[in-house]
Amino acid sequence: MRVVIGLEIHVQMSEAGSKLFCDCKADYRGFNVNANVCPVCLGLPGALPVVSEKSLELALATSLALKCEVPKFIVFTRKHYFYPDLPKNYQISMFERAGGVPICRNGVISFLDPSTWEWKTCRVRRINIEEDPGRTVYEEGGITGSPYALVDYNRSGVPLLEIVTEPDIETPRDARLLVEYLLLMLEYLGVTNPRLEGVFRVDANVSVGGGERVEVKNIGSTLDVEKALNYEILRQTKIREAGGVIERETRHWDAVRGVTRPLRHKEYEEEYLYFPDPDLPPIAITEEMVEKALRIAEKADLQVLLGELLKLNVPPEHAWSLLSTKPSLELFRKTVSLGGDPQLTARILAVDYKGELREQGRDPYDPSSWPPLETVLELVKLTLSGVYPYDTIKGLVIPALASNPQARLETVLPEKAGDIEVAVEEVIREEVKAVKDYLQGRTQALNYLVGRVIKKIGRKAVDPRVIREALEKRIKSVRSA
Amino acid sequence: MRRLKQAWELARDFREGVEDPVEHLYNVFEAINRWEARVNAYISLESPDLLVEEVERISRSIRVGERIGKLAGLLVSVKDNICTSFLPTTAGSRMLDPYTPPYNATVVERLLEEDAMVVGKTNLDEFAMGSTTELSAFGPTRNPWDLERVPGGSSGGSAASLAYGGSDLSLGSDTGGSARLPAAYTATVGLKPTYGLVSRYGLIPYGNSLEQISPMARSVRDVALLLDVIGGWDPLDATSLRVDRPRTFTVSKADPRKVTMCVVKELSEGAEEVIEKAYWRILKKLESEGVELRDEKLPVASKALPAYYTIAFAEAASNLARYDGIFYPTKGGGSSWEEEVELARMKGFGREVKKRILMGVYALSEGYRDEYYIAATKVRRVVRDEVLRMTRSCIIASQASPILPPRLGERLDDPLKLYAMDVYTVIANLAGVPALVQTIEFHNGLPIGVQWIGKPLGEGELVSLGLLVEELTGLAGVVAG
Amino acid sequence: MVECRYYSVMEKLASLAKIKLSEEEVESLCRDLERTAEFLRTVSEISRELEVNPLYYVWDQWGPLREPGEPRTIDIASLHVSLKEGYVRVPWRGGKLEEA
Repeated sequence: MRVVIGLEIHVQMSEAGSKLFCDCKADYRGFNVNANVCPVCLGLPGALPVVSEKSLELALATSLALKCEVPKFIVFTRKHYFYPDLPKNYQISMFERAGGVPICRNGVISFLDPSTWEWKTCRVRRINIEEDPGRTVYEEGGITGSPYALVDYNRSGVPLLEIVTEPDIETPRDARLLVEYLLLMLEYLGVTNPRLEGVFRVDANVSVGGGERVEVKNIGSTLDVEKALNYEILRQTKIREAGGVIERETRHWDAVRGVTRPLRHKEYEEEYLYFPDPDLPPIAITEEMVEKALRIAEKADLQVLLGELLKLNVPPEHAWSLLSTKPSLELFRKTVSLGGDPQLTARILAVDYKGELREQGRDPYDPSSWPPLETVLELVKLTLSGVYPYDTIKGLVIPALASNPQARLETVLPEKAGDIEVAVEEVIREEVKAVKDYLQGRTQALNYLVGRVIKKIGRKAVDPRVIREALEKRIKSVRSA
Repeated sequence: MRRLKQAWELARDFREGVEDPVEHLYNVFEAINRWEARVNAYISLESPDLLVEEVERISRSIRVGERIGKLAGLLVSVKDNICTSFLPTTAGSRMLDPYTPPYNATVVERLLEEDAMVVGKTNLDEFAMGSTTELSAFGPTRNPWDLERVPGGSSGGSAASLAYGGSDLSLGSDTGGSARLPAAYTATVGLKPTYGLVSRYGLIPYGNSLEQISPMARSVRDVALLLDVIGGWDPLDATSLRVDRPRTFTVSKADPRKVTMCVVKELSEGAEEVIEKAYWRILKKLESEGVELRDEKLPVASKALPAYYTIAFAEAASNLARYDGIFYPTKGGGSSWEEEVELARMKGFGREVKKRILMGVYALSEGYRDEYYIAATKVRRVVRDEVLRMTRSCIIASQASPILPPRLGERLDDPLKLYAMDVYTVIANLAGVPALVQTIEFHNGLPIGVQWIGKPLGEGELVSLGLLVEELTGLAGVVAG
Repeated sequence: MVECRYYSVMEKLASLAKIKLSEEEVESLCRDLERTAEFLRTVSEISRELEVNPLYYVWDQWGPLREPGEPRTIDIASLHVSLKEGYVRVPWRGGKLEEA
């Protein structure tokens, strides 16, 4: 049966510096509980909101990057409901039917499927700027039974982008790919850091076979986007095939159990008493602002960046790997601009180094996990020169760098073949018995000899395989002598 | 009739060593001791010791020739819906009794910068919702001119403190006439500034698209002195106008031959006979001095009152949603979230406040918003445009109050009777323009006021006219008793 | 006495406004609301003829944008809150706060 999916993605503008309406910090993680609060974000009587320049700039850049119709001015509205984590008991947002004007209407997102290298599109209905409420924690009994609720207002007032798509998405996988791509775009635009905990959440609307649509809330990871939608589609399909009817409803994604559950049915239709916020006169979107935002959007155009890589003959998978790990892309571009061979650089960074970071459990998104530009440039040149076999570079040098990216390259280079020969020679002369044992077929003796050579060479990095090879060769030639 | 020296004269005499600020402080203490128990102008008073310390510091500074502020030595009373971090700020409500804000309103900061001394926080109708100062959780304020009568509202405490000499200057607030009606009833002067001229940061909001903190005093020049200190752009208030501090203190008395006055029919009729007679007497007197009187009509004025109240109620419902007991002293004692909130709001709010909130919710709710809220905002546009058009070429003459100061209880048996008291004043709030009320006559010991409505940022002209009128009436500086 | 027309609406309003009302309050407020609503409704008569847009902001001035500044952090304990390990504690399902 035909599947139709629409998404509502809320993303915190974690890189906006300050909260939307006050100077408390936009990235609230790391603060003690209730230590990132002020009269404005606590909604104290008499405190007033003033929109942050940076938040608007980032929102506008996002809007332009998604090819939206940008309005001449934006208007904020109040949405009223009572909840412990909403200090004013209204949320400042942008509701069009009550006079609000959003930052984007009618955009489109083109996103990549990296495994088929296919570009897909999905229309964007609108983008709102709004404030996040605080965070409520429940004790024993959870949201339904906890005697008390505990509230941390550090997050209250953090700037959010609400990005709403048209129901143009056809598979759960596409939904996941869209969200991943969107988050990458936002990362490059300097809007958000996608890896921060809770920095985004997704509500998905899905209908099967032309039936009513069901809203699934509380999806907190890109993998869950696919999982939740797969579950929900299956659930709906089963009902339809058994002759049942799907009713319009809102369900909650339980990530732990992997199911969607119905939310409690509300008695009254939600009444939010929307009206334009009298404390926030409309804000003009000037040509100057648009130009500035356009420059940000252009520098962050993923399709263009990808195109540049492909033009340099970087294989597509490497290109995508670089792009999706921003520090590696930046390193790549700088290296290549200074003469580094593009294909080799891409391979070293995107495949070997990145793979090694994973192995060692290090964070590839942390710029300090990567070596400085000079080191990378040197490494690329060295690899090209063939002084060391690629195996050595990949098996020894890169792992060593990965565990200490600031190390100078020469300190992690193994002994060259020539220097080994001297040590090999000495060891063969000294370890007569071991050599005899090896010749008689005891292969462990070779291991022992390798160890002796390593010891003799001292603290310098060595590649045991090269030593083993050299020993074998030398012993053979000695024997035939 | 007793008169006190005008505040600006006192300030000058302090600076020149002609008057002693310490002695003045004790005079004011004496007035408070004599009157306060019966009048109840104040909710809280600053500690006398602290004030003595402060005035002695100022006195010393003057003696050694140090630079002192424009308001040094003067005692300012502040309406209790304006945040002070050094005195509780209750908004006249149980809900905030006792609540001490963690910050000062911008206007308070500006007062302190000019070395003013805040003598206390004055009584008001709860959350500024009322026209008589009988609806406070702290008891009614009585009119020093006749203790059986009200001082007007909602800034009745401010007006009364001036009227008995318990303060030199006062900050009130005006949403629909709340600083002007009390001025008319207590023989003081009240000026509602152009919307946005004075920062609302720190004003506990009621009708936030309508209200302004308003300077009140016993003379026109004193009001100008105060306005110049508190007015001007505040980056913390997004509705604040991007203008410099006003300079109205130094304007000269108007030349009557250069004044054009629009006598608007709808704003001149409908008052008690004694008031009408007094009104026409002053207009004729002004005409004889050379003022040009022009007859004008403002048909939409008949709908100004219901339009005003619709918008005010809607904004009130929204602005008071935040009072749910979490941050504030009045708790619900409930054992579920909903119960806690509902009980806290039941206990914390008085009857009139509850009524206005319910009415506001009604006006904004889905089925009724077009008929009530939207309709009112449309009427508002017409009112504003008409008033702006008219005031481009003249100052509007208007009644201040339809009745003499009523007795306590007289206006409380029917909601519409209370609302009707604002019939002449709301128009200036709807249009955003400045308006001044001053006394023209006394009738059987009760003051009668008149209102002048100016063009946007036309406070200087209003002050100028006010000075002329004061000269004609000789009533500047009068006090009760 | 004729029942106040707003009776059924009152319950919804009180629920939206989250204010608990006693029986007597409902009665007397209902009548006040009735009178007031009638008075306010007169606006819609003339607004129907007016072909203008609603006015939400009295001046045609654009709102300002805020440049970066220092946070004006306050200590939440200075408010009338019940704290548990730094969190603001509110009744949820069954818990009661100690009377202030």
